[in-house]
Amino acid sequence: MTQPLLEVQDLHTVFSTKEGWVKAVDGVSFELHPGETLGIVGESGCGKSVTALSIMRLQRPGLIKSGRVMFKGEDLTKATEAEMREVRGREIAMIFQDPMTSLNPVFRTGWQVAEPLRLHHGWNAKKSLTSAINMLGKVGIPSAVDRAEDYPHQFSGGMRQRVMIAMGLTTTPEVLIADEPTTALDVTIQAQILDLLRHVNQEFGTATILITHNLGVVAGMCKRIIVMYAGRIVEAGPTTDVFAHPKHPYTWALLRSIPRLDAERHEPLKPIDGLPPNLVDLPSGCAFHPRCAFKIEKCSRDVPALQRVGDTQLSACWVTQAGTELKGA
Amino acid sequence: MSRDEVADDKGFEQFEKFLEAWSRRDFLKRAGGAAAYMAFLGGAVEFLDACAGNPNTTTTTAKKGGHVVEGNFSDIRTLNSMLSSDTASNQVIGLMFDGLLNYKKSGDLIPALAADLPKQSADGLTYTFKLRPNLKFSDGQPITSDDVKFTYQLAYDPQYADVASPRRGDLSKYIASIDTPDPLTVVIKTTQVFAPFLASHGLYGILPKHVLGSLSAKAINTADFNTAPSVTSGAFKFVSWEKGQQVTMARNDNYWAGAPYLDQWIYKVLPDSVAVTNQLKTGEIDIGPVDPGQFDALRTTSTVAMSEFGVPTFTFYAYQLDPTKPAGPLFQDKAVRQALLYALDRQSIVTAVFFGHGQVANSVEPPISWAYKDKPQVVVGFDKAKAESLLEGAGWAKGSDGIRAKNGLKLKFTMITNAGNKQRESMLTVMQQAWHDIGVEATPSLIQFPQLVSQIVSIRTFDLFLVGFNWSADPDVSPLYHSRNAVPGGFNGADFKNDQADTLLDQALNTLDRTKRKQLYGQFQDLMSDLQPSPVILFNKGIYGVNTRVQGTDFGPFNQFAQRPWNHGVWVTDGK
Amino acid sequence: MLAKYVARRFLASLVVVLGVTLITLVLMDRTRGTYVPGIDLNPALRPEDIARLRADLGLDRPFYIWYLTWIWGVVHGDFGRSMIDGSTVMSHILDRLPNTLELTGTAILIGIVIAIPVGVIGALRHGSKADHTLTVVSVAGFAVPQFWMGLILILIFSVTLEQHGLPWLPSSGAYSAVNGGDFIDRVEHLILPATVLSFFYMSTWSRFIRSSMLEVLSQDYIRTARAKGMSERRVVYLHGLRNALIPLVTLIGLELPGLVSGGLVVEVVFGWPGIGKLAFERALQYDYTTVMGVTFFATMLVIAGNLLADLLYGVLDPRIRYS
Repeated sequence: MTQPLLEVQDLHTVFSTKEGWVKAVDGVSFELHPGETLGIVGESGCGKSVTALSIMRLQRPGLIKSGRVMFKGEDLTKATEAEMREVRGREIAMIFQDPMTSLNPVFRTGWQVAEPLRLHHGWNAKKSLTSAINMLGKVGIPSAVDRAEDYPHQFSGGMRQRVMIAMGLTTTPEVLIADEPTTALDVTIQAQILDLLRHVNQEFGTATILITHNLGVVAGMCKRIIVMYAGRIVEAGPTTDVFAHPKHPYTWALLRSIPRLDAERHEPLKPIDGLPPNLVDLPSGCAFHPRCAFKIEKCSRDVPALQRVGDTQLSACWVTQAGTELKGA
Repeated sequence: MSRDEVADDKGFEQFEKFLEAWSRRDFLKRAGGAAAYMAFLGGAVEFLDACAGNPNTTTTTAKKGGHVVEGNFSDIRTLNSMLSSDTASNQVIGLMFDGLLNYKKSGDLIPALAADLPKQSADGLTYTFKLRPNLKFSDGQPITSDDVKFTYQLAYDPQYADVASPRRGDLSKYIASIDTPDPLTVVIKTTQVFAPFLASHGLYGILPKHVLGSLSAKAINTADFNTAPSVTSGAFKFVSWEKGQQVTMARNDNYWAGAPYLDQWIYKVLPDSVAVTNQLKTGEIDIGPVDPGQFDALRTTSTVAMSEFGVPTFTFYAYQLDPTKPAGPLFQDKAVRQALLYALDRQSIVTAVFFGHGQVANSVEPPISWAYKDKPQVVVGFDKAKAESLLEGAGWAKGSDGIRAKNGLKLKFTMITNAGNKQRESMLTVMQQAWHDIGVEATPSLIQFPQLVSQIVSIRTFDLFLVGFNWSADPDVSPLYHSRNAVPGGFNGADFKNDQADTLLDQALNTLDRTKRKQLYGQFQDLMSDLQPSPVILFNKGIYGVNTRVQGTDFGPFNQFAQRPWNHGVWVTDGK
Repeated sequence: MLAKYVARRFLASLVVVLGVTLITLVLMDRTRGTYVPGIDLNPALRPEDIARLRADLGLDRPFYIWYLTWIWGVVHGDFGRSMIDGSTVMSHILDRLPNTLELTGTAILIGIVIAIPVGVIGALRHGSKADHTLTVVSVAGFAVPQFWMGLILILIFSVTLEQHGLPWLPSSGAYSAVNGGDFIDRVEHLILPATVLSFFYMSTWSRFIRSSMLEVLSQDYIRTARAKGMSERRVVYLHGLRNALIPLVTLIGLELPGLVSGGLVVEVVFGWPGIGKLAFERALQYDYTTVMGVTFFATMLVIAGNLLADLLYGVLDPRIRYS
């Protein structure tokens, strides 16, 4: 097993609100190996985006309270701003959900894609633009030379996301974090973008963290998966194993709630009962217990730790740690 | 009279002459009262001050060179003496064009381009002027009787009827003919004996026929000469006019009285009286008219000397005398008119509104005029009790609401004046209060100046208006009080029509005998003091601020803006 | 494309000009009463002189006849002569328009130069003491009446400084009466009035930049820019400000008409020989021709200003292109 490229250790990121401190990331730890594809899954507000932003130290106005983010031997949480600027966009790149608002509307796309090269490699305008055009071509944008002169609003949604990906990859970073890259796109385009990300991972060997709330997206793309709930990791493991036999009631309920093509017509959908918790005022014990179909008495008292359950999976659940299998209609 | 002048030899002489002239004045003998005494006091105080040692006097030899900047509030409109009617234009024209005659600061006539005062025929209809020899325009061309005739023709001659002269009314009425038997002689024949003829029409700046003579009447209205005179007959010649900013003039070496000491005279347009004060202090301007409210601010400035003198400008109010107008019936009875005047403490108005720089008038003639009668038949002072008894006696009894009424008609009316004139606005407030105290309800109303003029001159739906006015050096006051000026377009907005007044005014115009005129105006003033159709509240004081580096100015009642025979003698001590 | 667009705008503008000038004339005519422009209460003037002058000026005829005569003249490039001083209206305008442009142009420049940093600081440090202080100063600059500020500045920088023997600034006019007119002299005269006038622009625009900046800085592409690893300064000033300034350009463009009329109060207080002061004085005196001439030019400038703002917007924001 190779050394992890990126290691998040017990990360805590909080936000100050009128009602009190919100623990957006409440003790998250995971590893990312070179060339690996990792999916982070969870509902909106579970802390997956903040985790990614915390890695990049872009979590403001949030505060990294404690924890370490080890990247190539350095703890990024302790790095200076100048050191972080060397990392961002050069060694770790991040692309975001809505490519229309994520690209600057007043600069030409070629110029924007080339910008990291000018910034980090010090290349001149011509050289960086040539490289950018090259990358635009590689991500599947036809007539890249002409298109580089266009503005973001002149591209379709899918094309814009390709531009974003190109922009992230120009400096051949070692890690690419994609935060909900397909959420704003329609289904057919989604598939294309995912293909592209897969292709990029294989061709360039870029380790990819894919953040999404869509289990289907993760299934096709990520080798390993992390499930988050209320700022904590509740389950982690190889994607196929987690999908085949989930070791956490939340994951189990998520998988069960996906409508299946082979289900009976009259069968009702199975949503998860209840609402996501108020992060200022978390339930006692396991944050999921009020909505859990398998809860026991202990769940409302003690916070479960993330433990190995089964050969390859980790789960933070008293029930499964005790050995119970999750089954049910 | 400025203190600098008193201090040097030349000034001393003038002061002696001044005293002499005073002792000769009729009105000093006759009046012996406030006006002369105050003016004398004013001069005496300055004299004593000066004797005590004036640190600002430097050398007594006039230095050549330098400039003077004179500030005033309005921009000029035209530089053609026969087309102008506004003060600013006349002021600048006065620096560049001389007429046959000019005024001393007392208002007495002195010869300018003419060598002497004209000979008058026995019947009073003919004036014969002899021009000075070797008169030259600024371009070296001689000034002859042809130029004089040409200048006057623009206003009276039918062939120049298209020239938009604002003086056509008078000149075409009174001039029968002008002859020029030789280049130095001008003979003007009038259609009738007209006493103010010389004072009103003898001062027009003489224009160059060799420049304007070839133009048609219409073309003269729009000639470039009017905004950029290429040739002048006065102390200075034209350099430039930057609209809205200033007119720059340069020394005319061909001036008959000798080339001016100054290289340049600049007339600068200023926003308001505060700017005058500020710029006199900073030295951005050398000369400027000082508002009474600004007097104290400048008194302590060591670089500015102020001179103060009575002027023929005054503020008056007029009752609506047309019985067909709504307020007409209120003011028909002279007891009411007198009563309202008795109720006003005019001296306190002078103190409060004009900071003491004014003079309460007993008469409609200015105190500085030779025709002024200080104690006319009825002397109205401040007497509230008298006011009330007059009103009671006239049948105006106080109602339950405190307002006097007679036959169901309340003594209640609106007073108008122009907005934006702080002094007039204040005066209306004082009048409102004073009249309220005797049971009269008078309400102030402010309107724009053009509307006020419209009211006075034609519309005339006012109840009572308050406005300022000024007379020329001649004591004729027909424009306000003669019935022929009550027609629409005239200034007798009050509709004052009195046969006796008309007769006196016409007779006084019709004779050149000053003694006779004085007697007639005396009778007129007696009549007016009794009838009080348009009481005068006060006569103003002119105040001029002059930088101490400027010597040779001699401001006075009739040497304020336009007519100044001493312009060429002004010099600056620092030669800059 | 562009030429067609401009041409269409121009034709529409003619309608506006006609409408504005006609309304102006009607307003003057209806309120004039019987007043004859330029006539003061001068005892030397007789009723027949005044009547003749009124006829000469064409004021005896109904206003629409006057208007049509005027339009006919304008079509031939003749804007007539002032009813008060007889000088051509063009000479008045040409003499004064440059002065006004100098004043308001400078004020706008000062306004921009100061508003941008003030607005940016306010946005970057929003909620802080510095932000609150700048807010108070901005609002004060907007709330304080121009004539008051003008008089206070004159009192301090002209009169008081001079009295203490320190270098002082002149209080009226565009240049010195004597030997004036060179560049330094003009700048000295420009300082006080342009400062007073710029306060208005500074206050409004700095508030605007601040909120525009705040909005821009919360946009996703700012987050992207930071994720690319550039310095905060580059993020704010290159990626952020460039976007925040776009709406400001429109604001400034809409101020262009104010180039002519905006400086009126300041022109009057400082005796600045500009076109605003001219129009103000002449309107009160019912000088039809001058007022109509100035109105005509002002309207043209308003239209030009709006057009320029629209075109500039298109240049700066690639999302907007005109057909």
